[in-house]
Amino acid sequence: MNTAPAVSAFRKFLRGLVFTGLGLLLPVQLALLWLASLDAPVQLPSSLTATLTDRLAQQGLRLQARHFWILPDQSLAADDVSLEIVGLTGEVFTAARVEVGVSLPELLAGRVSPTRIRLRGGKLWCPASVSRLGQSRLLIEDIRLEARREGRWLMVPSLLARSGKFVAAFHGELPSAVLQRDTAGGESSASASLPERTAQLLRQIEETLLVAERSGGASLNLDARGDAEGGARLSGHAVLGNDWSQEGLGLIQARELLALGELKINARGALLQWRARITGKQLSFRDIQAGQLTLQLDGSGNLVETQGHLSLDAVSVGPFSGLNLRSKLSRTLSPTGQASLRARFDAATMTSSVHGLAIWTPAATATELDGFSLRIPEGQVAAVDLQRAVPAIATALAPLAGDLTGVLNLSDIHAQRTPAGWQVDGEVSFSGLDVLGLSPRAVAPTRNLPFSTKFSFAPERTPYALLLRDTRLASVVGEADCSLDPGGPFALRLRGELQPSALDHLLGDWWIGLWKLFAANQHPYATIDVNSHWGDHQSEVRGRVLLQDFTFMQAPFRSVEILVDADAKGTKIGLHRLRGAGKDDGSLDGSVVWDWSKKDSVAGPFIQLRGNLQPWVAARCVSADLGEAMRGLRLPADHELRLDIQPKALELDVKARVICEGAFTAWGIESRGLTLDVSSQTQDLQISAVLALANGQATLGIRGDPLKDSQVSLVLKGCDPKKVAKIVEQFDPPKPTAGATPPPAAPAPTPPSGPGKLDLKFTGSINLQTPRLLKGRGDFELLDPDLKRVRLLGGVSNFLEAIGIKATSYDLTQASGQFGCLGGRAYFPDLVIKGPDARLTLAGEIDLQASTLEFEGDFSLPKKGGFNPLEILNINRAFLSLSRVRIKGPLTNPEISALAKLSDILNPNKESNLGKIPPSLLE
Amino acid sequence: MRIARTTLVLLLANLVAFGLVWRATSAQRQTVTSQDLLFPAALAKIELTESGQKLVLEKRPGSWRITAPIEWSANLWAVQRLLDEIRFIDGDKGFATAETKAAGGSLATYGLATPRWTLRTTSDAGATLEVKIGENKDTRRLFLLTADGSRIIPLGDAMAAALEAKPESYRVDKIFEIADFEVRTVSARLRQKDGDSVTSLSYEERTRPGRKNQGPEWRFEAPFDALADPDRATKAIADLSNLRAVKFAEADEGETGLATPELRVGLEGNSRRQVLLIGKPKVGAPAQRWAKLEDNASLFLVEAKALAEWENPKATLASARPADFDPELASGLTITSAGRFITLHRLDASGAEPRWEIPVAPGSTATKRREADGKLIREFLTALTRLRATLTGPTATPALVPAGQLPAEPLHKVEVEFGGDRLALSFYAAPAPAAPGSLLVHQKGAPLAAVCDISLLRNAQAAVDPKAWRNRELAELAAGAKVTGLRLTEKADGKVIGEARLGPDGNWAGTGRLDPANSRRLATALMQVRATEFPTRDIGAGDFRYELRITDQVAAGATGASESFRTYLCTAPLNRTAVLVRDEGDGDDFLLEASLAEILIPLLGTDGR
Repeated sequence: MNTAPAVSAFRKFLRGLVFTGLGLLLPVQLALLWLASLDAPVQLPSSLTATLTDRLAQQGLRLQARHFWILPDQSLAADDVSLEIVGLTGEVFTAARVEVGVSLPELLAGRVSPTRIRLRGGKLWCPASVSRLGQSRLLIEDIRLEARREGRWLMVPSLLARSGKFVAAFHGELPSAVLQRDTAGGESSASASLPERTAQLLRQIEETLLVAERSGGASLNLDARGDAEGGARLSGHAVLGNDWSQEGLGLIQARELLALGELKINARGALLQWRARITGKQLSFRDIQAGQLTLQLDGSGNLVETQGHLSLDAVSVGPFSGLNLRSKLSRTLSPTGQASLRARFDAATMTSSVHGLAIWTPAATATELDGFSLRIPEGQVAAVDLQRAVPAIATALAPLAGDLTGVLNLSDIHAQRTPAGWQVDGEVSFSGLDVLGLSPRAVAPTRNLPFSTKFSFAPERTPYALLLRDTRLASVVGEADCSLDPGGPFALRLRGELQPSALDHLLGDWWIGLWKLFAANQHPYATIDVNSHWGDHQSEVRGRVLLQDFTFMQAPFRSVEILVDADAKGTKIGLHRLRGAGKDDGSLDGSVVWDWSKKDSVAGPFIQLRGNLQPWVAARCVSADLGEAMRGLRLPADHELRLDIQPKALELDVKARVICEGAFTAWGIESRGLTLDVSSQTQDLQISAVLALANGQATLGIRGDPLKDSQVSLVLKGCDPKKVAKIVEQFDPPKPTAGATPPPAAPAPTPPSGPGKLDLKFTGSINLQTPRLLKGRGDFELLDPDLKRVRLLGGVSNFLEAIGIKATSYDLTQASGQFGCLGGRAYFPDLVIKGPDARLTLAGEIDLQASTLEFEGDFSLPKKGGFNPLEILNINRAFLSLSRVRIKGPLTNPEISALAKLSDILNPNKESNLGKIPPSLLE
Repeated sequence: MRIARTTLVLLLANLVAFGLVWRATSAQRQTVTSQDLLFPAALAKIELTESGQKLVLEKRPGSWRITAPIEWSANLWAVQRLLDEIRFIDGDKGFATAETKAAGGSLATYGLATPRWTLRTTSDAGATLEVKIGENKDTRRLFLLTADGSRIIPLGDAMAAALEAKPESYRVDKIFEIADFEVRTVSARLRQKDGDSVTSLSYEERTRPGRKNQGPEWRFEAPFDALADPDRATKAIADLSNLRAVKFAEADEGETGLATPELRVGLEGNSRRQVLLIGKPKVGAPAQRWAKLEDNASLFLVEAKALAEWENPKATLASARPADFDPELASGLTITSAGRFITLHRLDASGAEPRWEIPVAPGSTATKRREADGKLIREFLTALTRLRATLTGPTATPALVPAGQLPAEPLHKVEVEFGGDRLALSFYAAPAPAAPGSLLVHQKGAPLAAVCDISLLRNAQAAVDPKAWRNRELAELAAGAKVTGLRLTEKADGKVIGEARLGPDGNWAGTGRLDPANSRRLATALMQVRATEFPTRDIGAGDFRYELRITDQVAAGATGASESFRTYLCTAPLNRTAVLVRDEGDGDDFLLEASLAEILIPLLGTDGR
């Protein structure tokens, strides 16, 4: 008997499994066959829809629809759909109808993969809890979508969305990988819950639509075309309405705002390249207006490499208008991964232009500031533009007596925003800067050199936020450290040739006062440190000024080094090597001090000068004429001149002393031992001089302004009259009068005889400007063996020669008498010229201005004790006893008459007023 | 293994079922077209006919164009408004024509018996669709009759407004189609009594002395060969390409003067050319002038001032930069002023801060070879390249002077060498009235000279004294070297007022004014001695009163450390930051740099006050 072969348990199991599987698969296939064979929509059973909604609910979605259908094209359809997100109150999406196609083979394979989607009457809602309005609002009022997947392509015949005045349209084909990419992209925010993600998305849409809603409308149009590589090229344009308002920014207005764009994606949906061009007209935002905007951007999938161009024409910001801006934009990534936007820009107005690079680096965290830096390699900004752009400049310059004109040149400017503010450095030059009187024209009027400087501004740097280096103001170079706070400190370090008046505003009255004393033919070279506060005229000044070829109070000087040390308390001016104009004119060292702790009237200057300056140079400080008159006084190098000046009341108290112990020459006369004191107090000048003069001793005293009426006293003792005469001739030599004959040729030199001796006293008043109008009385006594040659007596001496005194035995060796001077005449009432054997008594006058004289007198021979027969024979003696001497005419060549007139003989005692000192002098 | 019959039956049944499913699925064709939208989403042409007048809008790459009744670029905003309305016309809306008729109505009720408009669209794919649009006379409502006449669709007010727009409103006021970035050549022909004045600019690349890898730039081709001002030319061309018509109007030729235009301005782009003809000013509005495009009949008015720059472009658009070169390429420099000159040569070609020298050239002011200050030279060369003509007059035109009107002799001359090439700049007194700090600058061979603000040159164009260019860095100890000894003496009597020595332990020991702390500071500062300035005149510093002797020690090597000495003579300080110094081994007096001077001056004790 055949027994059935033994069947293993495994085979039984396998057989059962196949049977079961085939048994289950068959109804499924039959169901699918039914489905595929449908020719009319079939409503899904409620149990199935309940299962579907339950499953969605588990994922946080609440789906409701009036009906769910299976369509003959194997699509699932739903009518009157509404979708809610669990966690957000209210529906998010509604649609009149949604159809989703599925692939049955894929469904058979266990994959649910939509092949088609069709949406009609779609609306997107923003729940009240998400909307910024606090109430549920319709975001998009009409969404229509027709899309299908064909192989690797997603075909979108139309996607239209409308929200109020905003319309968006898209059509074309895209790589279907775009959808997967979106899913993948969603993973990055997987940490957020579905309601959060949805709320964020809705909020963004609401923001975008608010812009469109507030505007005149917007239309976005995109179309896509697939390419051979499986990617797609999208192009589109957007037109935006005329104006809109954006919360936080306010109203933004624009006309004809147009955006054109193109982008290319690859088969995986990744962005490869993109380009956008935005143009607009008549833009307005707050107080900024622009006539035309063009923004062109392009980039690659790596958005970091974004580049573009921005141009804004006819921009006006407040009162500033006419700006044109062109900029090349690029987005870069730093090594640390921080992205920044770089804009290489050209900004220009009609009269100004600036080129540069601006870099904006958004802050990595909310607590940080966005980084912003600006580089301007070059620029020219007209002062008018600068003042229009920053009206505060004019306000700031007002207290500094400042003005801006011309062009501001910028070079290598670098500005950076820091937590403390903007840091700026670079170089500028300005042809039309005038601050505190410092301007190119003020500093160097004859040289065409403007202001230029390198600068660094850092607001957190105290006290000097602004540093100026390599500063050049015309011929002056230097540095400055400045605070920009009102009344803040500043420090200047300047050197160079300087027009002193340029610093008048900066340094104040003492500086002005100082330079009033000087008249420089060459600009002084100054090396000066100035420390002060804005608006404060009391500066701390320390420096040195080299002054060459100048006059100081009419006195010419070759050079001086002026050391300046001034502050609020006082001003000290050191004068080093104040050299007279000539090489042999000596020099002075000393100081000039102002003590500002005292009242202005007595603050200064306190002047102390010591040296060996020739007196004539110093005398020129008093008067040019006096100085010239004093040129004859030449003191040796070892003499000492001391000058002390200090204020008293409104005048200066001047004390000067000249000491010369050794020999010197005075108007060619060898002299010794001069001590000259000059003292000047309030309108009261006193000069006293003691010197060995003309082999004698001279003492001179002057009180009062010698250039006005001053009291003068002169005492000469034992002086050589010839030398004195020579000195007198040098003072104000007589001017030739029309009628005066030219002076006779100098007489042939006679062999020197023994020196004469003159003692003279004179007291009176004199004006050195008109010395011949001196007034006063005096007396003199002259002992001179050679009297007739004494030019002091002028024509009288000639007369003596003419009458043959020399030829006779009558010696006239002594002259004495009184004299008075008034109104340009010298009166000699009792001039007695005598010798051991003769006596001439004269009375007369000399017209000092016309240089004429008129003398009358008698010649007498004193009787001698014994008998001398020769005297009988002396006819002269008899004749002269009867004669009347008359001398008249020019001082240099008078007419002499010794013959007695009949009237003289008849009336020998006739009264005459000739030579009488006027009574006013006698009082 | 034997297969059970049941299993076999099931298998066969499944295979049959699968085959049927497959066949049913394959036979299924998805609906391709949208049923609810009447018009295709992508339109390429729109024709709107009203009372025989046809408005035709055609899509071009990136723009739309109106081709009838006028030929002009279309206003995209107006076109888009029409497109947006057409797109949203829903084919499912409205009602069937048959239903209307059944209800007793007719097409006339909706104005469709004699429709006011005929709208014909052509899609990107070439499919055309023509619909009629009528107006109910009573309600003024618009209705659309579908192409097959089966449905009547009511239209909204927005669509009505779009349809009623006049053809003129579809015309954009921009005149040129060539975008500014596309322009490669611009020409302007101004009609004058003595013949036409022709100016031509082209955007081209050309090598120039002192420039390497020079990209394309705007150049004058006529009336002379010269560079155009990059800023002004770019702006003027952009303004021209964006020129807009004030108003389109009609006028006869006699009034417009366009038969013999006074000005012809041509723009040439990548592959097209447009010429704008400018005629007479409008009667009664002289600020506007008649104009038309050469190949277009449309007449319009433009603002006369918008074309002002093109009436004399050589005056307004010529380069305002007399010296445009790359300072980094300069290899030599010769400055001549007041009959004296100085030559400067670059020593090495590489490095961020190249070294320069002042050679003893025959006849030059240099009597001794010196190293020049590369930084100063670079700044000067850079400043030269930044010279620009100042702007004058109400229109702010650059102050340019024809080369033929230059004075006979320049005040200064600067010659810049670039290897074998040379660029010569001459500086003349600026013609009156000139702003302060201005000179007339002319590059040899250029047709125009420019009146420039020269303030950034800092008068270096006249600096022929070698001291002006000497290297400010006078001494710098090499790495490892150090100052080991200091001695400060009064020169007059040789009295030592301070002396210090660096001990082996690295501490300073000093006497007098050079105490250890001061010595250390001074020694550190003296590692590098820089001059602020080499004065070229007596600055009143007086005689040298102090002598500072410095002992330097170079790094100890195999042969032990070696010492060298430096001696500086110092005057009394001029103030707290300035002192005149002379290196005994050099001879040129210099003002010490402030940072070192501030250390040294207190040690000198007195500044002579």
